[in-house]
Amino acid sequence: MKKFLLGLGVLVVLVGLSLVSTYNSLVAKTQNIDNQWAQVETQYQRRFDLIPNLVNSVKGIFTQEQEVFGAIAEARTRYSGAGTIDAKAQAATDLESALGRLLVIVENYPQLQSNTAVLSLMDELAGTENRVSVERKRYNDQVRDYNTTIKRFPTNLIANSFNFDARAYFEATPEAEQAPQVDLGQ
Amino acid sequence: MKKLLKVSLALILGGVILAGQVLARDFPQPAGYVNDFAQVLSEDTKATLENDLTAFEAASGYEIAVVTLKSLEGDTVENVAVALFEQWGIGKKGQDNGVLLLIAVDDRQLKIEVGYGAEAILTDSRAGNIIRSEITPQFKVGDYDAGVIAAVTAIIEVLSQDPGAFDEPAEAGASTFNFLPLVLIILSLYALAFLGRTKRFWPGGALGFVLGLLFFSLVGGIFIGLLGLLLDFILSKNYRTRQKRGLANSWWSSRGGFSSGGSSGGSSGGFGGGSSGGGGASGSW
Repeated sequence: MKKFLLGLGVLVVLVGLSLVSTYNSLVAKTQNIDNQWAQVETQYQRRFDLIPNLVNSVKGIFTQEQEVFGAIAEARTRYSGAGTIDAKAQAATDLESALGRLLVIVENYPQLQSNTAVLSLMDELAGTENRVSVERKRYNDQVRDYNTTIKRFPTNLIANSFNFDARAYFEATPEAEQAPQVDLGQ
Repeated sequence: MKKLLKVSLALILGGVILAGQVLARDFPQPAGYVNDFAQVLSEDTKATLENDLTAFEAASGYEIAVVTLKSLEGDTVENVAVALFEQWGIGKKGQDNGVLLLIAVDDRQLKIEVGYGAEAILTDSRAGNIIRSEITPQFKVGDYDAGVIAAVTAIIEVLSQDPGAFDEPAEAGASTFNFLPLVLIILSLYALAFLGRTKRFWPGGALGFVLGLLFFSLVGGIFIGLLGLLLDFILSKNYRTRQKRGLANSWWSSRGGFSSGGSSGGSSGGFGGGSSGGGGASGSW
């Protein structure tokens, strides 16, 4: 009887310990995701700070490409006014596709290739785009890791009872992935 | 209980060492600052660069890595640069003052990847400028040596403008000194000593399991538990054999074949564990 109680005690302690450690690891994972999201937003902010410079430096040259600038300005306004993460992500994705079109347009103008101010801005913008995709990939990796963890047995029992909900991925929309088509013949 | 505590500390150390090895991926470990995997640089160039980069690191704390790869194997140069930077941890931990010059020879693409801490001084446009003015003209005529040397010289020149670079490292090293790993290592050595003297070897396993649960997960608990079992078993056995043979059985000579590999996490092969987030510029020739 004594041995049985001892065994039971050990079992209870072990279960308790694993509960605590699972809970703690879930908390740590959600913290990491939030932290990584902040990194993504930092890079978006950087992109928004750069855009006025780029737009002003090339706007005069592209008189027939006003539609792109309109799309950029519109996405920018929507981003600053967005309340939810989803709305922000959508605005950021739209901006990305508009910027992508602008980058292709700039590449198609040979006279810009010798303009150092434009080249520098293109470097900054390309670097920022790359930063965004790196931080976003890390965000998605962490969300994937977390979502897999909370769906696995037996972690799912703990996750359900403490309301650890699945997080949303931040994937680029299909149109943003496609290379933009630019027709300069018009 | 005291004994159990000591055993567990040994197991934590074992777990730390193992965790450091799980990260290994496709890229080979770095052998110095210059890693010419594609074999396009001359011996002279490599020696010169290695000297310059070692001296610059000693003076400023900046870690600059030069890597040539034969092929990107279908990936983009940006992705490969980020992955390589992440694996090697170029730059000092916490300062993130690393720079990676990655050249993919067959793909004719290159990337200057800048650590978080160096982004403000080696900006994307400066990196792009270096690629356009120093590197690609030389690479176009096939002179990799001249291109790489010119690029490294230019990068060092830019980074030298950082006013904080030359007095920061010593100060930062002292203020961010973390004594916890050291304490753990010392305690673990003591734990190993006592662990080896016990005839029983199951406490190592049991405590490894519990501690693994606490610090990692169920899988971690089982894994570290097994590790502890093995470690305690070998040590206990080794102690007894040595006792029988009348050999020295103090802890440093009864390690049972284990060498203490207490490297702090994050760093690998000479780099300090810095990180980057895709900053810098890329180009092609």
